Amino acid sequence: MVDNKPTEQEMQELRNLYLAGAKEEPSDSLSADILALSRHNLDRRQEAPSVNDTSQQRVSAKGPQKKFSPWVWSSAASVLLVLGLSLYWPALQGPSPDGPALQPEPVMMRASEPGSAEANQKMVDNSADQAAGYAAPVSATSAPGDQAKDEAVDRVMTQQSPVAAAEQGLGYDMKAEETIGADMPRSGAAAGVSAKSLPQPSAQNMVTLAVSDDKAELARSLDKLAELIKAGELASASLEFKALAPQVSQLPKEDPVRIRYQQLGEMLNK
Amino acid sequence: MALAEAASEAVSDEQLMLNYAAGEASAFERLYLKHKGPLYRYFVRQIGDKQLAEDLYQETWGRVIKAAEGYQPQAKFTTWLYRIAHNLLVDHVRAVKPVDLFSDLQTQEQQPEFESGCDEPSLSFEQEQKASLLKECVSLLPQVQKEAFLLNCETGFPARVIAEIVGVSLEASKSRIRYAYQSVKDCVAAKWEVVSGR
Repeated sequence: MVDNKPTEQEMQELRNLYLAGAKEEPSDSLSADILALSRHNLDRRQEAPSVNDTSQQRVSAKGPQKKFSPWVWSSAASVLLVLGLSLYWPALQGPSPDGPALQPEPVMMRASEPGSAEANQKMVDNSADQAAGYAAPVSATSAPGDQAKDEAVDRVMTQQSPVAAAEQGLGYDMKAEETIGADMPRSGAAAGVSAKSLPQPSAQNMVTLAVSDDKAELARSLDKLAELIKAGELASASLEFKALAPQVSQLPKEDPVRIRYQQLGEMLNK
Repeated sequence: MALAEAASEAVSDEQLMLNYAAGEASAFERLYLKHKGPLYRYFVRQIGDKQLAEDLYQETWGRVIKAAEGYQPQAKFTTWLYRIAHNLLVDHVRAVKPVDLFSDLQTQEQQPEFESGCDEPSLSFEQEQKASLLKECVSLLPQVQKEAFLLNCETGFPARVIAEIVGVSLEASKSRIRYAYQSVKDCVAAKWEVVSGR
């Protein structure tokens, strides 16, 4: 096999032999196509700069529009969303959804008298919320129309809280409260700060007052219940009797209101 | 006149390509006329399908034309040209079954019409016959050896350049060339013995 290895001379002979038979050429039409392609490409390249200029102008003209269009679209979509929500969601048109409607209503601390009773109501609510951790939201979300009521609450609380603070030695600072109140809306800030600094003894007194008011209201309800029994409207009387049961059950057994409630129950059973 | 012709021939392929890129259409024509035959045979002798060979040939020149604008003479023009051709060939081999493209079992009847060299009066009858036998023997070579042989014979590329075009090591390239020549030599000798003995 090694002997068969072609020498350089033999390789050259083979090369010459190959070239002697290498006659294949592309057809004239094929060559013409390729040359035409080369000329066409050359012409196109020479025309290209002007075309590129115009296309660049078009791109630069369209650039800002493309840049701003997403912003415009997102803004329009946001406006439409807000408008749609305000039109079709009735809850948004009324008071704030996280306002008083969501606050727990203490059963025993309901004031029945108008005027100052409303201030007491707020005050009691605040103290109850403070215990539950809801004091700030209640005050902060008050509507502007409630400003007069809130001011009444403020008056009650700011009169009592320095005394209580002095009792507990907490170093209550009236000026600090005023400063906070000046920075915030009056109805929210003052009520919030005052509620937090409300001393425990005063709250108990107020709760006692509220319970007495509640008992008076309960007595009136029992009067109404007696009238219903007398009128023979037993179905309504039964419903009213059941509705009063939770409130009455919190009264001591020897309480005259409870005793009367039991008497009315016996009458109703008869 | 003779001096002008000599000066034009002295212009390198790379310079012609640059001239074409600069907008001189005649530069490409000269380049094309210079390389059209070898490149055409490079395809035709490797691919059994002549139509496909012509398509690849045209595609190669199309790519050269497209690349002219950004052409940088970092390598010899011929190396670059045959690198394009080789890549196109490989792509088509991968796309189609190799059996369909490279007919190692090409027979005398399957050879294209350029097979006869009867219109070449300068060649002796013996040389014509040997040249015809050599074509047949080349067509019987394995694909990689055939490519190495064609590149070496047609363009005179050394093993180093062929290795660069085909993408193999120098030793592999040398080996392919050597075995290709050896096979062709043996094949031609064997066939000539048969022909001359008839």
